[in-house]
Amino acid sequence: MLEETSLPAGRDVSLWSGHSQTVLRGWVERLGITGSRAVVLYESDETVVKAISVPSAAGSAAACQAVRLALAESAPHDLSNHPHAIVPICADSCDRDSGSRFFVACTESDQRAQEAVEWLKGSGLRASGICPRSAVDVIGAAGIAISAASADGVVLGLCIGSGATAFAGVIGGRLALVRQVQFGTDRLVGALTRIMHASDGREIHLGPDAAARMLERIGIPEPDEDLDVAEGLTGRTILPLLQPVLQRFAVELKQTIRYGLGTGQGADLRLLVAGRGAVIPRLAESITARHGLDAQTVQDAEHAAVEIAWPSIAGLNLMPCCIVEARSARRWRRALWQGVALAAGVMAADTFSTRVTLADQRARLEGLADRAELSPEARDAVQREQALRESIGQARSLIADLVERVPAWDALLIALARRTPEDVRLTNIELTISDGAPRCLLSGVALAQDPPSNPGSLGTYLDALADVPIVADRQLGSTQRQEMDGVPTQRFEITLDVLPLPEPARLPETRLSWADPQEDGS
Amino acid sequence: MSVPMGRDMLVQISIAVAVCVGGYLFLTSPAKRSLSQVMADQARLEPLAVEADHIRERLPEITREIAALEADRDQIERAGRFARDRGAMFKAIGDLASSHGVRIEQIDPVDMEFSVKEDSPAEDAQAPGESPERDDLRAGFNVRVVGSYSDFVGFMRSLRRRLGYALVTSVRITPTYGEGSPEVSAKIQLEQYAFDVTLPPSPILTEEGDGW
Repeated sequence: MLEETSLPAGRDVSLWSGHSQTVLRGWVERLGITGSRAVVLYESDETVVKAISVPSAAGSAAACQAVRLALAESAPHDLSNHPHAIVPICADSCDRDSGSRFFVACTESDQRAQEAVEWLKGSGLRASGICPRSAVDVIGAAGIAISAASADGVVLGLCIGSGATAFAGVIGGRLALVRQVQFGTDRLVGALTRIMHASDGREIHLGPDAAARMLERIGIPEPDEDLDVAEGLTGRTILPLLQPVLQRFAVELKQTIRYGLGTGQGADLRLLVAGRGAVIPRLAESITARHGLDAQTVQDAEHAAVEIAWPSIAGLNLMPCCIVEARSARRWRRALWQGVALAAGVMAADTFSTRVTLADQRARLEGLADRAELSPEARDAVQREQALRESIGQARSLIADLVERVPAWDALLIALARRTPEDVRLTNIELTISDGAPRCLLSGVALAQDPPSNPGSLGTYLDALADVPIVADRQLGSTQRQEMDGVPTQRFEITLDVLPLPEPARLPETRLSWADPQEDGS
Repeated sequence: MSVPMGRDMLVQISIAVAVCVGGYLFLTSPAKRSLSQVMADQARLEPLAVEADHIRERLPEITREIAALEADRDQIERAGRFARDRGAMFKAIGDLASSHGVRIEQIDPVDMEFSVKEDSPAEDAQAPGESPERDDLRAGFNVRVVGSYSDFVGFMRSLRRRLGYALVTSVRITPTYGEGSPEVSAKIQLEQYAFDVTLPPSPILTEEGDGW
């Protein structure tokens, strides 16, 4: 839908209420878009827009800080309490080593921003952003110039707005200049509101709305052009009023070319014009003809800057601080409860999973408990087996230590009887266990032999005792020669170390392994 | 963009945290605690169940083992009866002497205390506090016999083999020269042992225990 309506002239937002709001609400209702989000591009006298260049050598943070300081110097209010925005202009086309980086910075009073939001709200829309049009024009001018740049040419983009005009120069494909002057088509409208003298001497006074409409209709006339025969207006009537403004435009353009792009480049300069001023008939030609330049009006000139700058619109948003904070709070609140909901979901899933696992594990536990439960008979059998093992094991240990290996005295006595010769008589046999070692002490008398050094029957006897298997050692003790019934004899004492023999019958003939069933797993 | 941390936000954060923590404490945490307890019970019961399975498989074998062990116990008890019963001991010695043709001139019982050699496994088995009081017994006898040497040797062999846990600790043999065949007189110190094989209470199979 394309519909045009007349709004009150001027850029004071307070003038927007009333008629303009009624008209806008009617459009919104007819389109059925009540409550939709909208972006407002506006112009206000209190809006501060600055195009600022910073050396590329500075870091991003330092550059932003510098731009903020520059904006704070120009702003009539404290930036911390009023909406402001800083957006880089075509950062990709800047030479980081030697060039400059350009920023557009803008700020608005918080009250005026709130009024704009309220105005849009009263029209049935919701404001998603409010952006100063002059800031958009700055980005648009740069975009227009860059899009038309060539490797070795110079392009100057000119975006003539209502209240400000933006210049952007590109040299060799690199953005070299961004400049804005607070001078726009409103000056031409203002010039036309002055008293004009018709050809018949009559004074003509146009209001702002009529002057704006006439400017859009006739633009910059030729001197002898008849503009309104009925009113007696000709080009000569209004040109004197417009000439100072045109002269100012020309001077600003000339200074931009000379000081911004360098002298001598005018001949190779390509000038592209956009913005609201581009659609005023012969305005661009009137300005550029004075410098011998050929101005080209871009396609859809009035809206080209907006289309180019649209991706940067979000960065230029000057929504009131309270709304920004409220939206931020709403977002945080929403995120918080979404987080809570997510956490609750995770907890619910975890709890469900845990309870399912718990049910499975409880069932398994019951199975284990049933398996672990033994019948009383089996329990008694195990108890009895272990008790018997323990008791008999201890008894076996004691038996083995105390009475398993005993001296076989009877065998020793038999051996003595067999090995004692006729010429040896035993008078005493003592069998003892001393410190666990069995010993045998033999006392007796043997026939003495001559000479005395001859061991005779006693030596033979000792040798015979050494051959007894259970005798480990034998020692001859004291000997004494004497005569018995006139026969020389020799009293002697012999000590025998006796080996104890195992007595297998004393240990139970256990047919079982005594290993711990826990260890061998049997 | 600055984060609004006003009172309202703090309250909502507190509520959100309380909701999350409360939900965890009242819903998730008890279930997890129960699951941990169940897993701990499973870990405790698993080896018991395996052992119970093993016992069920071995039950016939255990029954056979019990019979064999009880036979062993009876054997040990029978072998130790002479230490516990002096009358039986006197009668057994008299019977042995008669069977071997030696004369018992004197039998004196001697009071003795049961003791175990130091550093022996048996002493370890009787460590205080680890085993109940045992009723092991050592009884001493002094015996004086007279008989022929060969009869005496047979008597000594029978003492060793037919009197249970007997240990002849000392023998003094002297010949006697009288009328008739030569004889010997012997003074014997004899020790008799009895070992306790009564069943101790099993510490792992009491009613209060958590096994089986």
